[in-house]
This record gives sequence, C-alpha cells and structure tokens, in this order.
Amino acid sequence: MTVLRGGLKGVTASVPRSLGTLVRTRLTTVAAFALAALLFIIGTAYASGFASLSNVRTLAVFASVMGLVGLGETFVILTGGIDLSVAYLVDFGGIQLSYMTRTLQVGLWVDVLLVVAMGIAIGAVSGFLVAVTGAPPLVLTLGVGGLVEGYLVAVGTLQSAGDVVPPGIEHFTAGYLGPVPNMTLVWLGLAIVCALVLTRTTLGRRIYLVGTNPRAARLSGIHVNRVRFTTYMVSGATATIAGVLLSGFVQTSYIGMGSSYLFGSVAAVAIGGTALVGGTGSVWGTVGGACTLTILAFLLPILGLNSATVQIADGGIILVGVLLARRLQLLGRTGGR
Amino acid sequence: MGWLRRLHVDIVMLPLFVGLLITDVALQPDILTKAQIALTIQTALPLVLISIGEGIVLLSGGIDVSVGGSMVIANVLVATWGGSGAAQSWHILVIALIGVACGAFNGCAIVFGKLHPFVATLASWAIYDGIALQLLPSAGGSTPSGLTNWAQNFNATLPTPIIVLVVTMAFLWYWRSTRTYKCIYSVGSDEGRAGLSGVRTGQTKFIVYALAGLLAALAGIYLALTTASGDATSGDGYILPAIEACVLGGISLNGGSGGLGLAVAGAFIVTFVEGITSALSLPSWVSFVLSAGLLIVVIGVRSLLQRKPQQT
Repeated sequence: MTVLRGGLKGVTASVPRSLGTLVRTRLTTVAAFALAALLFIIGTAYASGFASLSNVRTLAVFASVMGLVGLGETFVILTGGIDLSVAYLVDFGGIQLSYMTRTLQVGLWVDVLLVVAMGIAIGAVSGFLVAVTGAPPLVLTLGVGGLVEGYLVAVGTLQSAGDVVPPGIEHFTAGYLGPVPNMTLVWLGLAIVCALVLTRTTLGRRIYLVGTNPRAARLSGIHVNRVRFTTYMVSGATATIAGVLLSGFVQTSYIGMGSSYLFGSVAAVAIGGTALVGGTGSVWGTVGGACTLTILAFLLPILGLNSATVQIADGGIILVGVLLARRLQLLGRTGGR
Repeated sequence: MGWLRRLHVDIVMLPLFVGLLITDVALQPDILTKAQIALTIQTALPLVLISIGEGIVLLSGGIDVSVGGSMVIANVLVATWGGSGAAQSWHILVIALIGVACGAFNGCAIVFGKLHPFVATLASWAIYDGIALQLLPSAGGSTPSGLTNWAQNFNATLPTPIIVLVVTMAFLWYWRSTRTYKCIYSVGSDEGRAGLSGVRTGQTKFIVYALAGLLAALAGIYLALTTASGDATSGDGYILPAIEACVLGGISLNGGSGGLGLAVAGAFIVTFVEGITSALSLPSWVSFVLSAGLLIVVIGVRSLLQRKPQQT
C-alpha cells in the first residue's frame, strides 16, 4: 500500500496535478509569500524608508543570494537529503574567483564559468560520496565543506594580498535592468529553469519520487543514486553562483561570508513548505521563504531591538513560519485524498 | 569479544579510538601524568555530556541542533546568577531544570507541532542563543566559588574531571537497562511498529528532547565552572562536533542503532584529533583537511561495511 501510494504521489506531484497536490504545494507557497508580505508591511509601518526603491533593491539583492543557495538546497531536500556544504561553497565562489583572477587572467567570464564548474564538481563529490557509501548526507556534506574550507584557508595563507573582487563582477552586481537588480534577474531566471525542470521533466518527476519513496523509485527502474547525485551537483552550482555574486556586491570575499546560509538555506526551504523528509515542496515556496528570511533580517534591527532580541524574534518567526507550512501541508494531505 | 559487541563497538571505532589515543600519547608523552589526564578529560567533558544528549536524540531517530543554545543558557545563568554563597547548589538545580524546559519546548514543537526535528531545533537554537545573549551580552561574570574550586580541583586523590566522567559512565551503565532506554531504541528503529506494540511514542520522544536539554545544560554548567566565567557564544562550537562525535562513535543517524557509550568514545576521538593537530603544530588548513577527511573516511568506510548487497 505504501509503495503504491508513494508511487502515485510522486507522479501526481509533477504533471497531472491532482487537486490535493495542487492545494498542498500552492497553499504553502502562498503562505510563505504572505508571511513575507506581512513582514514587509510591518517594515513600512515602522520605518519610512523601508518601501523606498533603494531599500527594496537591497532586500532583493540579499534575497537573491539566500534564494540562489535555497534553489539547490530545495533539489537536495526534495530527494530526502540535505546539503550543509553550501555555506562553504558560497565562500568558495567568492574567494576562488578572486584567486583565479589574480593568478590566471584569462578573462572574467571564463573565470566565472570555471569557478562554477568547480562548484559543480564539489557538489558531485558530495553526491558521489552519498551515493556510493550510503552514509548520512548531513555529516558527509559537512565533511566535504570542511575540506573546502581547508583549501580556502590554504589559498588565503599562500596569498598574502587581500581578496580583491574583479571589477567586472562588482559592476555587474551593482547594475540594474530597469528597476530590477541584475542579481535578482539571475536568481529568478534560474528559479524559472529549476521550476520547469522539477515540474515538466522526467528528472523532476524522478526527484519527487525518490524523495517520496526511494524503494518504489528503485522498483520502478529509476537509478536512485544517479538522481541524488544530480541534485547535489545542482546545489553545488547554485551555491557557487551565489558566492560569486555576493562577493561582487559586497566588494570583497572572505572565509565565513557564507556562514549565515549554512542553516539559513534549510530554513528558507522549510518555510517554503518543502518537507525535510523529501517528496513534497516547490521552488516557488523556497523563493517565498528566502524573501521572508531576508525581510525579517532587515526588519528586526530597525524595530529598535538589540541583537539578542533580534535573534529571539528571528528564531520565533522561523518557528511560526515552519509551523504554518507544516499545518498547511497536513491540511493539503487530508483534503486531497 | 562479546562484550564489545554488546556495547555496539564496531570494527571501525575500536582501531580508530586506540590508534588516535596512541598517536596522541606518542606525540606528547608527558600527558600520562594524573594532572594531565585530568586536564584532557576536563577539556573533553562538555563535549562528552552534550554528545550523550545528542546521542539519545539520534537513537530515537531525531536530531537536535539546539543543544548549543540550551548549553549557553545554563552557562550564562551560572555566571550571572550563582554568585551568592548559600543558595549556589540550589541555583544549579534550577539551572539544570531550565535546561530540561528548553529541551521540553523542542519536544512540544516536534511531538505536537509535528515539525521535523532539524527545523524545530534550528529555530529554537536561535531563540536560546538570543536569550543567553540577552542575559550576558559579553563574556564574563563570576561563578559560585565553592563549586568552582571543586570543579577545578586536580590535587585530590581523584581529580574532579575523573570523578565526573566515572559518575556519568556509571549512570549510563545503569540507564541502559531501563525501560525508557528500550522505548527510545524501539521508537528509533520503527516508530510505527513501536506505537503498535504499545510504546508511547510521543511521550518517549518528548523525554528524549528533555534529556538532551538537561545534558546540554549540565555541559554548560560544567564549562562555566571550569572556566569560572560565562560566554553566550560558547555553545555554537559544540553543536556540529557533538553530531560528529556520535557519528564517529558509531551511532546511526537513522535511529535505533548504537549505544551511548559510543557518544562518549566519539567525543574523546574528536578531542584526540584536536590534541594531535595542535601537538603537531600543523598549518591550520592541514588540520581542517585532516579532521574533515577523517570524518568522511570513517563514516564512508563504516557505511560501506554495513551495506548489505540487497539492501534498498
């Protein structure tokens, strides 16, 4: 029975949407955006400049970084895994680009492509280890992250000069297309691609099925490990892109600049209604979750709270957000079947 | 060798533990005096206590990343509240109960809120860290002098860290034959079946998180007494090492497999690795790579050994 149910759920989650799945995935997404909107309204009520174009642009830029990391994390979590190496990959994206620009000088966009390719390769290492050993991804990705951090410390000690970000990237991340920052365009563009992959392709359908019921997936002839492997590569790519863009925007790169994304990306995914056991969730939910967390991070300090209270409120609202998402998931499940 | 198997010691853990111990001793032969052994145990004890708590949660099939938060609340409470003479032991008791409350809150969110333990404890970790930061914004404070002197006493026939470790181990030895412990195992192996066999799964999970909070608080209290001060940021560095210690020791993250003695051994493995890398005075990147590489190799090899050919 469980096999059958799992199999059906994986299929309905993608192309022929049943009412229940539709309600479940859309409700949690709507809730994540509603929470973001609520926080934004509170912000505009408390601070006059909160809704100004420049502030909204800054919010959009930082939401883009969180959201990019969250995109890949969503893929991994949908299969029932977790990737904690993303924080170190964000560091890697920034520092490795600075390092390669200093040493190689083959042109900025070649460097960026190479760095992202290396990020994908690191994701592939995580995916390979998870697939081959079957060990828990939580610890394996942490170990891979430790190796990356070791490498970055080594690069830092070999190079005494400060990490200067290539001006081309600084220019790109500071730019806008109309009112929208370039970084946000990259984020939303990739989000559309990811959403299409998840809902319109065989790979996407397989990702949902592997997360819902790996046994059923294997019995239906899916290479479960290959699917998992792919999701870690996606995660490596998005986290590295996020690191490259973040270093451009803050105009420096340093070890630890990605540390807030270690658990932040997981929180964004969870608020967006993706279940940590896998199988349920969507890219757009994570987009909403990233908006929520970013607005929250900007809102709390201007409410006149000290850093300790900010942290308490941060945890409290994350708790409320995930409780809400969980309630709606359960609601969708009973209503749909 | 049957007793080793009964304690869930596997073929990876034993050589690892013994090998690291020998390497550590070979690199620094002077650590074999009584005072140095006590010092090593003192360094390891907060991680040992917090790893036991994490181990209980992992055995039940959950995970707790808020242990660092419960730990620092206790830690700063000892340093900011326990200054007066007469009421000090009473205060410590209350602080330990506050740790239980922190854990019970997690238990509520997971059992009644039906949240994934990782997400629930992630949020409560931020809350607990914030509370601790509110209580003691910058590191400092003072600890009750009597208890501090007791905790730092290395000159007695049995130095205090050795006593604490032995008492902890003795308690674990007793606890492993209780009903609660067996309920935790059964919930960790298969929650649905445990419920069908009459185990109160919700209650068991609640107890598990409360105990993790208690042990984290004990770790925070002990750390405050040995450093004679409180620090609201001291807990973050224990969360991932505690999970690492459990995994290196051989507790499965899927629940229902392993033993709490392994968490203690794992905590010492982590401490030995730190001791070895600092004794060799390696560049920091080498020690990063060594400890991360060790983690990957150990859990990778263990999972490969345990993987059955037809397992799905």
